[in-house]
Amino acid sequence: MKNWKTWALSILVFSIVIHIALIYSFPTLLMNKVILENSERANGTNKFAHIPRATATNKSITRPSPDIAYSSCTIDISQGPVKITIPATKPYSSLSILGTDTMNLLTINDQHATGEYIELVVAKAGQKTPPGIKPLILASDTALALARYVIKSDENWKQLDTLRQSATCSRL
Amino acid sequence: MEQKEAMYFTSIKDSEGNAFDGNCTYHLEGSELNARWWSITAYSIYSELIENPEGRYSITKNSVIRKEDGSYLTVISPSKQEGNWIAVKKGQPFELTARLYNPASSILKTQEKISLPKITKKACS
Repeated sequence: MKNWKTWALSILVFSIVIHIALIYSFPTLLMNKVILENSERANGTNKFAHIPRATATNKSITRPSPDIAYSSCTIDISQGPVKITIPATKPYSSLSILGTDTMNLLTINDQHATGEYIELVVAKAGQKTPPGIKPLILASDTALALARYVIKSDENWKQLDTLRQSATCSRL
Repeated sequence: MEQKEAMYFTSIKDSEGNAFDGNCTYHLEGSELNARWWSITAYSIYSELIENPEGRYSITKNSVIRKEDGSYLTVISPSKQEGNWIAVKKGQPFELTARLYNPASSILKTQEKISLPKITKKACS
């Protein structure tokens, strides 16, 4: 009887540990999948993929806004810092950096732009970055950059789609 | 994102507390949302945009047609409407999400009191 109880308790504890481990690792597993898919879409890391405008049939993003153009870049800083620039378009555009645990590490928008572009340098601690630019320091080698551009109208969409091709995400 | 960057509000029920029903027509009435940019979009319960030939998925700060006093009325319906219209699918439940980018500081301070549009059921078939 005692052995049976010990065995049942062991199974229970083991199940709880596995359950908690899965809950904690799920965001990272999910983000790793997103980062991998994004690299494939862009044909590599440190390159922007410009996601087609969301419609009922184009389902590249979960719960997308049909009024926002999304572009994304898998950042790889294992070989050095990466600089990201995106056009600062009105009425709203922004650049977000998402960590491998899905956490939003930073978002900057067109109101913080220097000139016509929003710029950001991403690096690991200890990597040399250009003077005068305060880099975002990452704890891991990879992250996801997500650019959002508001589409004012259907007429504005073609112009915006052309303009966003000028965004860069490349190693310094 | 931080709330000062963006706030999202999702509604699954009308002003009477009943779940949105694609067999019904609703009136969405409101005034300007105090943010640098905003939109209100309809989704299926699976978070997908709702298919419609005209591509009328949403209204936005840029696209909504306002009355003289700045308020607006949008019809949410599976059948085509003149003016402000968000299309939904007949027979299917749906949800609405309001996105506010750079909401005003007054909204950040008293977000529980934000004046979101009222959504009233009008007729069902």
